Amino acid sequence: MTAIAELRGLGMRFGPMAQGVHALQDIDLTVRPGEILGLVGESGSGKSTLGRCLLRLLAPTAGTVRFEGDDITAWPERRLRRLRSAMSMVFQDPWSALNPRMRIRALIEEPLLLHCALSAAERRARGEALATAVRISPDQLDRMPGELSGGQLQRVCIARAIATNPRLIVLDEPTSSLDLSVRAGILDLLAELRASTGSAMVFITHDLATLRLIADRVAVLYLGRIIEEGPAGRVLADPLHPYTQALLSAHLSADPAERSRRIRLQGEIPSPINRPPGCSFATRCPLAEPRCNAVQPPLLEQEPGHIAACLRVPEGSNRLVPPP
Amino acid sequence: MIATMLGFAPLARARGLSRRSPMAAIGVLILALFVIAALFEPLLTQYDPVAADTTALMKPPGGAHLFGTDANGMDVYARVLRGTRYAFGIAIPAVLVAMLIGVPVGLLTGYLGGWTDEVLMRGFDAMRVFPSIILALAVVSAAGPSLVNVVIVLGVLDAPVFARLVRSEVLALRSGGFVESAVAAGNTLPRLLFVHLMPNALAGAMAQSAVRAAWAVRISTTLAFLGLGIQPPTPEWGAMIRQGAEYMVTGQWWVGVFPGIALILLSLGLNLAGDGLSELLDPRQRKAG
Repeated sequence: MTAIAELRGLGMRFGPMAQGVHALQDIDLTVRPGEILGLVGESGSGKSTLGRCLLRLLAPTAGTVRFEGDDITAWPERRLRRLRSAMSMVFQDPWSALNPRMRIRALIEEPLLLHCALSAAERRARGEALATAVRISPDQLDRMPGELSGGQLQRVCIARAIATNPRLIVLDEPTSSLDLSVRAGILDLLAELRASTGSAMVFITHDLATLRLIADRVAVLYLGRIIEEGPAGRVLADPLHPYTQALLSAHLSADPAERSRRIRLQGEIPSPINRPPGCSFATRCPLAEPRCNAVQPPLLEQEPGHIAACLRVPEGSNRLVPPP
Repeated sequence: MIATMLGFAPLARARGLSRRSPMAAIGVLILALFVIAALFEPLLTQYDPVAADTTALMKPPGGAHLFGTDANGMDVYARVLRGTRYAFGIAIPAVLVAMLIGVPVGLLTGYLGGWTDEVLMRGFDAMRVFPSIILALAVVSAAGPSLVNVVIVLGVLDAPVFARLVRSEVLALRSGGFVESAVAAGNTLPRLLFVHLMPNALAGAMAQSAVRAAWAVRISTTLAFLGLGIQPPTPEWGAMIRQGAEYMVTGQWWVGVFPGIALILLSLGLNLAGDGLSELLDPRQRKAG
């Protein structure tokens, strides 16, 4: 099976060489055709940067980015433009992601205008079909972005993202700025689109409940490194890395009868400017040993398809809460 | 709805303007008077501004000649009215030329940054090192004192102002937001600059346009006063003030004073209206409450 997108040894550093911020380090990640890959991590873990590197909206400072086999790491924007019909992005903040001076119709039709040789009438018809698909009513098409609600704007962004039938869509926290009630509608829509379009999606979020609903695979980021990756069912049901366990325990269940066994983390996140030599989670990890501060734990396959970077996994002492 | 758009909206806006900023309303009023003067000049006077009348040389104001006559027997009132056309005819094209050059440069330097930004903006900085009047003098005297030359020189000299205004807006817009989403959609560079960035980066430049027009009027009349712009007997205010200056000492003040007052009034009107415009167009400058 060929990968849609592939990151190898990816690193991203912002700022001058000496005191720059390492946003990403040694990222290996593969996106397979048609899958939904969830990317979780707290603020500042590099999720958004990773998504932008996948689409080459950012040029990484180390490693390679491949799209359908082509090494696009150093492609200039001029050359990438032709690929932009095969990849798209939905941004976190729908209020700022749309040109405030363009009508909704023009915004939805824009990718078609840029990539498809269609007549104005064909484009208009296709634009209206897209609007229907994302449940934007025809009378909203002639409005300006300022006249629509956040949920409606995010639907417009999704219509733009699926307009050219891309093979990869990166969704950067597409629901985090929306109301809970609106969020469910957007998630339904995404699940529906995934079934009808077959696009691979990279879903960036810090909301684990969302991932449970839609992700096939999950990768967990901590301070610019992937620390755990595997099938969504396995990672969410039986997380191996102590950080993933803590993250999952912090999630509140919708069932009031369920008692939450929350693991509270102590300590500070290390600065990405001056990273410790060992495991970056060691400063907060309740299970940390002296060697955790000295050695960078390798990502090892702990069970088929499920990898985690924790020194204590092989000896089985990686559980914050012992299994009942 | 249409009636509201056509008739009542400007009225309501004018009322709003006079309430929010009475000075700007005065500016708009002064400008309106000058526009009427420029458009309906033949209806406002019976005299031809360039017809010499040897029977009425240097007549003081009053009687048949409201502002008197000059050394050629030409009616000063008619000449001041006609001069309005030259003032607008230079200022408006000059500002358009300045925007035509400055806006694309501002878009490009703001968006691309790096070397493009350094080279173009340093070039503009170098231009601004010289006082603009000196540069204008030098170029017009080299290129020849014609209306077109004055317009082009003023436009080029003022381009850096618009470039800077647009550049700073683009800098604020380019990181993230709809610009990034436009790149992700696969926009070409020209489309990105002119379809996406330009409509969102023009507010500051538009707000400054009236103030820059006042500048253009001032510099062009100065050139004419120094004998480098439009030549007499063309009824241009600068040229008329120069003519009138010679008679000032002998007490025939009206030849130079009336075009001088017109120049000051237009300048004032443009500046007041310009300040009001920036307040209206730029919400950051809008006063609270």
